[in-house]
Amino acid sequence: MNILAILARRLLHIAATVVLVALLIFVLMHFLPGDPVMMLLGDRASDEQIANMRHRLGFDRSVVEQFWEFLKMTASLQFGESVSMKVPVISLIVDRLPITLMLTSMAVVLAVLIAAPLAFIAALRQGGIADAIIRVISQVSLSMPVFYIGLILLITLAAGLRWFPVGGIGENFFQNLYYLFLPALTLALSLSAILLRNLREALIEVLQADYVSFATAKGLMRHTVLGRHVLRNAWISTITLLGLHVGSLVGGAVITETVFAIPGVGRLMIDSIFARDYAVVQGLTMILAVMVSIVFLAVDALQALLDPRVSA
Amino acid sequence: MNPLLSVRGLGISIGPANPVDSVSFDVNASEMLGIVGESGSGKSLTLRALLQLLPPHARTTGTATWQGRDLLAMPADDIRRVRGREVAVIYQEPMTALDPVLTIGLQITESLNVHLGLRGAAARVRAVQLLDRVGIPDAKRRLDNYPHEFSGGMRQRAMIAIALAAEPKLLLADEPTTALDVTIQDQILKLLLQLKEDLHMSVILVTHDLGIVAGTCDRVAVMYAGRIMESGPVYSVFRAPAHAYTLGLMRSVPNPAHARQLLSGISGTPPEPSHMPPGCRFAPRCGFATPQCSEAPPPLRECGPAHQTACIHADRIRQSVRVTA
Ligand SMILES: Nc1ncnc2c1ncn2[C@@H]1O[C@H](COP(=O)(O)OP(=O)(O)OP(=O)(O)O)[C@@H](O)[C@H]1O
Ligand code: SF4
Ligand SMILES: [Mg+2]
Repeated sequence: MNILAILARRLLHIAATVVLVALLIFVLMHFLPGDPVMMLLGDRASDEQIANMRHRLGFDRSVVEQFWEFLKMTASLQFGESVSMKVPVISLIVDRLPITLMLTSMAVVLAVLIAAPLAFIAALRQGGIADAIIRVISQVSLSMPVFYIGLILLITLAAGLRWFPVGGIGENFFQNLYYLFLPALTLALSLSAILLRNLREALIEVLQADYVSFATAKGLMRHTVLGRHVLRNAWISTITLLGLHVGSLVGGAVITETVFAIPGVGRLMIDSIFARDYAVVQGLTMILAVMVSIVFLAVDALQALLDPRVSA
Repeated sequence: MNPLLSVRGLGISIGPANPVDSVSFDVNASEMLGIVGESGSGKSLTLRALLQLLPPHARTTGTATWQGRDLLAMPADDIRRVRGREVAVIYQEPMTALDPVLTIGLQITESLNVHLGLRGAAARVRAVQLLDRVGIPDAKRRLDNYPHEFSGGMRQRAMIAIALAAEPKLLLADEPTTALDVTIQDQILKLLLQLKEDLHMSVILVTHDLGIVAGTCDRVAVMYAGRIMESGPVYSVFRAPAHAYTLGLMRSVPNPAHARQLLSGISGTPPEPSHMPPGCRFAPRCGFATPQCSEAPPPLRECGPAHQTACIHADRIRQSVRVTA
């Protein structure tokens, strides 16, 4: 199978994911307690007002019709209008998505930058003091909830030392690099602990492999052996894991954006849930599902690039 | 003539175990030395120790003199320059010894690069010649293949090409044919003999297979439980074995072609490296053993021209060979 076939298969997966997520959202929304019409109009609305609103929202049609309508809208990115903010959902998302993308990308980069060197140190001195310390720290940061880490960083580095802003975002890309550093770090810590653990194991295994001994026996420099032979092989399994965890990164972004008052889609999600703004929640869920699927696709492609056996 | 490599009293300890103990042997220029012994006798550890390729927690004692310097005591940077350039190794399983995610071409050119300073097109040209030399057809196209795209025999040829890229003077071959079909085994051995002639190279060939030793080697060292039991010219050791273990090995291989199920003729199992018997390590399994055998480790002593044995009852062993012959 070649890379194209893998990508084609992945694209099919994405399409299937979209339909399934759409169905799930639709079913959930349908059976959620609380009537959005009542929420919008209040208790004292007349029967006629209610009927009108129901018609406008399409609630008077059959379930199947409503789902079909929902799918069509979804495919054309028409998620309707936000009832609480009175703007099209898609424009809200387009507004808010970039900052979340930046936050999660920074988190991934930070997680890798933290995990890779520590994993190397731990693996090269397996069983040593550094290894033990690194493992304890990663264990601790794994067992702490994201919002807790965020609050600690906020209280110490931002509020206490005033090294970083306590929240919000800047006015341009470069200011945002600074504003988003702490939130991204918060998000990165648990991911980097997972990466660290996995990469350490992978490195230890690869370091014992015959091909590493053979590469050393060829007289290569130590850094060539590590950089070219060891790291590359160890990354192959870790990249898959990284891709799998991007989904949970989205969940973490919801919390982080709330803690740091960042106007991204995570924050939007929370606000919309509390406001029972179903259209926004639906649209966001769809978009996020597609984004996560795209990340999986990218990981597959990367995997095939790194490991010639995959595309064999 | 001075030997090319002279190993004296090589000992390897890994934690509490001593899997290799006072191993001594010489390798002369342009000679093929066979090392035979059961699984676990320390053959691979011995080879790896020579290039400081043991796991980090292993400790070595003794010396391995190469061009007037001790390989075992060389600083990291110096031993790195010996690896591949002067002394090369090939392993048993080419599938695991070649990096699965790099092309064969890159795995050759990186050797050419580090030892000969060849880069880019010049390195590729040389790499094609090297693959050609080990008998890989269509070498130019094969350069861009990955190891999994080669057959087992071709992979072993590729590994040999990689190891010999910088034309070393000594090749340490650790069971280079054990993982291969019998017909391919033969081709690879012929190739090694050919390359040894062409490059005026010496080879240490580690194997389980006495037949292979008889067919290819000049001298042989028989290893058991981390010690050399007997060593000498192949014709002399096989015609007049002077150690009960060698005799046992020979008797358990009625037909060299079936050498894979060897040692059915010796009962029992080798000792654990952490629980070595005192005295002769073969004593618990030896039919010739006397109480004297377990008193102290018998040292290697001359028992013929260039022929040494660590058996104190060498004469009885030889007599029994003559009787049964
Ligand atoms: N990394 C290691 N740690 C601990 N013990 C080891 C290690 N490597 C090898 N040994 C032990 O040392 C002994 C000798 O191993 P070695 O690999 O040299 O045997 P061998 O003669 O090459 O056997 P084979 O024919 O199976 O390759 C064995 O008992 C093995 O269990
Ligand atoms: S020294 Fe004794 S125990 Fe060892 S091989 Fe010779 S006869 Fe057997
Ligand atoms: Mg071995």
